Amino acid sequence: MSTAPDASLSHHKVIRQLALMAMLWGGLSLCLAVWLCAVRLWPTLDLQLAWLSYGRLAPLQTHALLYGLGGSALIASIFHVAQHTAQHPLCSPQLVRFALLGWQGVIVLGSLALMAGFSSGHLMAEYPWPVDVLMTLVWLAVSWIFFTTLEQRSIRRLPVACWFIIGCLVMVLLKHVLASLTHPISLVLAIPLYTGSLDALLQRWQAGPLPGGMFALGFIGMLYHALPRQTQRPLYSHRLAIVSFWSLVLLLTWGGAPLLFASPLPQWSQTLGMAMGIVLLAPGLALSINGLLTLNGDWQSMRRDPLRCFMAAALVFYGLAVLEQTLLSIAPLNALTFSAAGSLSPANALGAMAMISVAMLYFLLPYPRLPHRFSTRLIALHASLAIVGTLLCVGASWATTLQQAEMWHALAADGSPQYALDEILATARTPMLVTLAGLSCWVMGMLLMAANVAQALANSSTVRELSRGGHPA
Amino acid sequence: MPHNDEPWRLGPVATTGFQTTLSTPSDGLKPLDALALEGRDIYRREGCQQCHTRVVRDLPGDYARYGAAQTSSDLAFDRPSLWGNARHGPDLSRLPSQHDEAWQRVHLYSPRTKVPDSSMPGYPWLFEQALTGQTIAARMRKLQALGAPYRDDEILAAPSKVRGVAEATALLAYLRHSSQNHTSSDTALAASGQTEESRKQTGDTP
Repeated sequence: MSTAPDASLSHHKVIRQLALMAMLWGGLSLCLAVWLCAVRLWPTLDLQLAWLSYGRLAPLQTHALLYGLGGSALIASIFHVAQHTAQHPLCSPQLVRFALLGWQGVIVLGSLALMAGFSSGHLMAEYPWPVDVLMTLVWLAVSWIFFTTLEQRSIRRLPVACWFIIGCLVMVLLKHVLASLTHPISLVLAIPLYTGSLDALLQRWQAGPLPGGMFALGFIGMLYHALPRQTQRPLYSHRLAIVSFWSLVLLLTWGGAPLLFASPLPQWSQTLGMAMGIVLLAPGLALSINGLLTLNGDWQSMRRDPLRCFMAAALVFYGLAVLEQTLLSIAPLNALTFSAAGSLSPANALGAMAMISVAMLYFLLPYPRLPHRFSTRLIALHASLAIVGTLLCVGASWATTLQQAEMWHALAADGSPQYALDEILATARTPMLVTLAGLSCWVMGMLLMAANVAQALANSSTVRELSRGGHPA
Repeated sequence: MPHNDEPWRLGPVATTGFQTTLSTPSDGLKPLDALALEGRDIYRREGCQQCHTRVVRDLPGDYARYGAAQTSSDLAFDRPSLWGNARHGPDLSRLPSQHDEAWQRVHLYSPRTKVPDSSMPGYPWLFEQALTGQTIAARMRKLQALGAPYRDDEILAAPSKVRGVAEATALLAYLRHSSQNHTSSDTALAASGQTEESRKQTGDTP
């Protein structure tokens, strides 16, 4: 290799730092989710402090999960894929450092702003406008690093993972900038360019229907890079991946419409949204199945390598989330959602987004080869906890939705509602206990991961010390 | 919608058309006054939209409880739109018909004194903090530039009008503001004989 090993090593360090931050944000966000769930179950736990009230912490939690865990893991994977594809260290080290610190800055500043109440009020994009600007700059830096590094490659043909990442880079920039255009009033206050229904439409467009909202393409790119390497098999069908890539890119621009059924939007736009939502089923399922077929029915290998199990589970939940969104695109089924819920469903947030991210972290952290690998048993335990946790949360959310919808729409003979609202809300209690259990499983899993990673890093630094002739700490 | 005789301008025209269809204010719709506008800001700040919607869906369970669904034109001055993410509590459109103001003040301070099973947190700090009115004029000026029909004297008087008012009062002024509760549905409801009384029995009273 012609490249200087030091430079390449330092960028592995950046990727590792991003991955560690992703792990930290994921853990914090899931702990917060447990707390928020507990506060809803037992409201007397509430601390009565403005900074820590439910309405301010709830967006902080979803944002830390989406941008902290998902976003950091995504940027780490983008850097890794660029470096790996080009066989060249990342270009512009200054920008790499900026991307690392800038993205963490986005989450820290954004979280503080949300606690102080400077929310923009935009669904899944509540950070105030200066943080939005910083986020755009970081995203431009990541794109610049990706494209310039990719320019250095010797093999002209791009692997399919790169296509997904390019799509993700462009789509995130487009969606993020278009949906968050505002007129600033002060440093924390802004008035959005769009008004009323159009603003609501764009908010949901950005939140998106597929797992991870605007990051959807990136998450698939991550898996399509890691899965063939982990299983040492080529992707089942390259052609299917390309076809679903293009259809997803072309159709994803219509995302979010299922969140707007029976809303004040004009009927024609709702019908169009419904059609597009159903059409999205094809590429979504194709992407999931293509990944699963790559495993080629080799279920035995999953026992040996729990990371494969993790990836397979992530793909199954991705498919489930796609299916869920498609079902919600059918108007009568959509009417079953008690409200035009804009929050991420657990199949989407935990099953697809968090699980893909965590699988990627396990994949990325050992680069360059750690002398002491992760404990396989702990990964296996983490995978089972994550799967059980997600299933509990998904089951609870479906049970709540179905039961509440039935009660909500039940009318007496004279046209008045049959059940009072508090009766309906009370039915959510048992499922919420199940959700609490599911989220706790996830938190335990993240703790196991932290212990596992800390152990491996400590071992590897001991080995490095020894190989330099020093004494182990 | 402007007349379209140049086919290559279809894109921009379609976009403007879309925005115009979606945001033409309905007749008689008034923008929020200064106090209600401050209240809206508090609604957004405290994240009320995390648990409450402010949009009635065109579905039986919704209009039986809250009256007919709003149209885009009823929500034409909403910046940003706060339709809400989920319903962990009632929809907050048309609040005056659900409870009176004194009830709401107590409920906002300590929800479980009014609704024993409520999971809503209390908001005591809204009763301790007062509005400063620092940004209200700038905000109204910007909204005016974007098409909300504010008069200049309204804007000039705004800061002195809101200064010193408790935040809870502003929040309730927003929730009870007539523009938020304005729809053609009020007449429709009266016509169908569904009075406030009958809704109180079946609605959200504990």
